Amino acid sequence: MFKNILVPVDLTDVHQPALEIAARLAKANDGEVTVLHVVEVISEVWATEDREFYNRLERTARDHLARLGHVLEARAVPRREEVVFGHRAPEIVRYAGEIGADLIVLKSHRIDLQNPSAGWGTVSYKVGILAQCPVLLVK
Amino acid sequence: MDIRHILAPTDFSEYANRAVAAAIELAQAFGGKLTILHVVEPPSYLVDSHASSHHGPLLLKAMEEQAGQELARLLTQLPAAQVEITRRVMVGVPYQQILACASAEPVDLIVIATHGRTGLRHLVLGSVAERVVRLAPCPVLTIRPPAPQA
Repeated sequence: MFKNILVPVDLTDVHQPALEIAARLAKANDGEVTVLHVVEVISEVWATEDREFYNRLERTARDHLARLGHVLEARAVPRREEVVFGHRAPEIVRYAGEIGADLIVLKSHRIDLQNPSAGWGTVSYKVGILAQCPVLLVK
Repeated sequence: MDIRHILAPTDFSEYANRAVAAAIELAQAFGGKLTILHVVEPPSYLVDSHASSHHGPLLLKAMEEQAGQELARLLTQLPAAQVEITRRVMVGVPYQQILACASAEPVDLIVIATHGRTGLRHLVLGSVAERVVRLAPCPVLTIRPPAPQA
């Protein structure tokens, strides 16, 4: 049922469970997985100013995505790796629409039950609310 | 991570039942089992009223029985699948009972629709799905209604 799966990641190492479940779902449906990193920009003129700075971030991100891609390669799941620039939550939602993703899988934090409102501003929460396709939050 | 047990809550709305159908497909793909849950929410007049001590339990019992019949009927309307399915009816506040069920079973994944009977106005804050997404101890898959055709 899910053939075009998007897995947004940051540059940490906490995304293994999300990648594994995406790989299994893709494998079960002869689908593919796109691993996406959004380089968060700090101004609207980022493309003209500080270009070299953002180029370095992009190279770092691509190296990281290549490493993460081995999880998918090991399961023989077709994969793509993409780096885009923007603000994370809206860019993930936009990109999912652009490629026609039928599922977004992303790592989510565990909620502190003593402070359950603390997670409202997170990227995963925003994507879960705004995305137009099913969203699987892996905790 | 293994997905051996999936929980699919339904309020019997069209969207919720689509999520149940998706959960069946996933359970089949992962070789897991599925629990379909409906939570009977006691009407406020039963909770608030002092005059309902006699009729309240009878009414709730009837609501539970009707929910059980609805769950059975729902399964006959969904595509047949080689999946072990358990039907459960619980009574209480829906999101609390869903979370309690998820913890007690325990389950590896909750599949839930984002637009059930509470509709769009509760999409962002306060819906059953929103609370389940935020508080669940396990992964949660939210299923949305299809986008309107342009």
